[in-house]
Amino acid sequence: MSQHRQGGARTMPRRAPEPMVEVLRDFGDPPSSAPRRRPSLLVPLVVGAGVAVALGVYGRTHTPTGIAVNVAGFSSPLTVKVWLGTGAAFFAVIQLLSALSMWGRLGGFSPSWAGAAHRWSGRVAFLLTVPVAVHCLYALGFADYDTRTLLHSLLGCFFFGAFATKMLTLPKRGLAGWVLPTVGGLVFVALIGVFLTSSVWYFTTFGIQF
Amino acid sequence: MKRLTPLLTLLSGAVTAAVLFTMSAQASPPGTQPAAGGAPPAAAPAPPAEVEADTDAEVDPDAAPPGEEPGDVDSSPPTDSDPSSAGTEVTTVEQNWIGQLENGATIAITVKNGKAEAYVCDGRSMELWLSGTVRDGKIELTGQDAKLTGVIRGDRASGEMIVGVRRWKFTARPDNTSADEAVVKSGPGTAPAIYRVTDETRKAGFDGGWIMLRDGTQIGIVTWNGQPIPAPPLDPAFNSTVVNGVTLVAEPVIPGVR
Repeated sequence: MSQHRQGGARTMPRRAPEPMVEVLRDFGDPPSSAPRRRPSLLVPLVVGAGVAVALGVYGRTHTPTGIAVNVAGFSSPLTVKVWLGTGAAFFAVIQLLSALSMWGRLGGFSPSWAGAAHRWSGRVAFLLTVPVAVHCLYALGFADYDTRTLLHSLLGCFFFGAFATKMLTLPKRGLAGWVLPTVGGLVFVALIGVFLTSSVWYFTTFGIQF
Repeated sequence: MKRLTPLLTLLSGAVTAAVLFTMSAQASPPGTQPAAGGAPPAAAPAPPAEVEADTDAEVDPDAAPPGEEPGDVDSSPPTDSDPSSAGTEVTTVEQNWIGQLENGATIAITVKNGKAEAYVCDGRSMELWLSGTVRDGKIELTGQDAKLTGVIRGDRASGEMIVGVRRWKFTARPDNTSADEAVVKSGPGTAPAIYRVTDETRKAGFDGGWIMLRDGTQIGIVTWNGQPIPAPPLDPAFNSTVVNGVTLVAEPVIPGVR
């Protein structure tokens, strides 16, 4: 499965010829259960965790201003965010479908453009979330008034951490087959959770507004 | 090259965030625009420098924003008028009087075409809405169980407010400091100083009022579940704020409109 992304074009480096290196690696890398040399996920995970924690800490310590820039054409900041978030969730669904297609999980439907669709829907979805997150963090901050806001705050921070991890993981070659689907799935679940606790909550509470 | 694209995605998101943070930091309440007490010359060159520093140094989405907090008192008319012009239409009043009651509460009276609306609040638990007239130097306003009378002499208004059996004196001074900005936006006039949540929001059971003070700060009260609580500052770009996770939308109080 893991070969799908790589398309078999890149050959994984063979086991290092010098035993010395192998021994040293074992010392530095306690979980030596992995039979092959897998690229380390340490940096992506640490950076992702750092991003998530930093966003949360910033959102918590920064005094919410209630002030942030507006986007033209909407009646209030909340509707702007609600619709940007809805757009991001829409592209996230495309993400899921294109990923399933890429990994051959949609039956025979695996068009050549699935990869491009996946990359571009992901970029669009991510960029749509950025203004929303900026407004949330700058104007509102990390909140825990109730379960919804707490869940939303936690998932929001987690989403950007997970996304950073995903982006930093992508360039690595020779990953275990479960890594990208797992990280991608976490990003997707986080975004949908954020969407449910914000946009969907808004639509069901205040009705659909523009 | 292909290996770089995920990083480029991250980077572009970070830069977008940095730009938005900077713009947000520069969006400021109408009351702070004049920056009379501040240092206007310093404020002008500051914003561009901030933008550059951010986009250059920004690699992580969270690296720069915390440092920008002091920037939110900076004001930059172009960036401010852009976002806010997209919102509600700008309305103006003739004159605002802002002052204090004996008991320390803040009073704001806004006047247009002889009609007047006033809001008295202490920012904690006491608030009162009044409406009436200001004509020929005489202030006459009434509210629920309340009556306010006063006179205007020169640039000073004074009088007393009676609520039930209690009586407080008040003094107020004109607040025209926002006039310049209002001229830029929509012709002669003074920016409104009193904001109240919209009718729809009031129907939903919330009330709230805000006074934009000369120094750019705000004082206000939100009635939440029937209890008055200190109001968080109103976002001037959208005239809204969030209380306990619920967004309250306010609008400027213009005498004669309601």
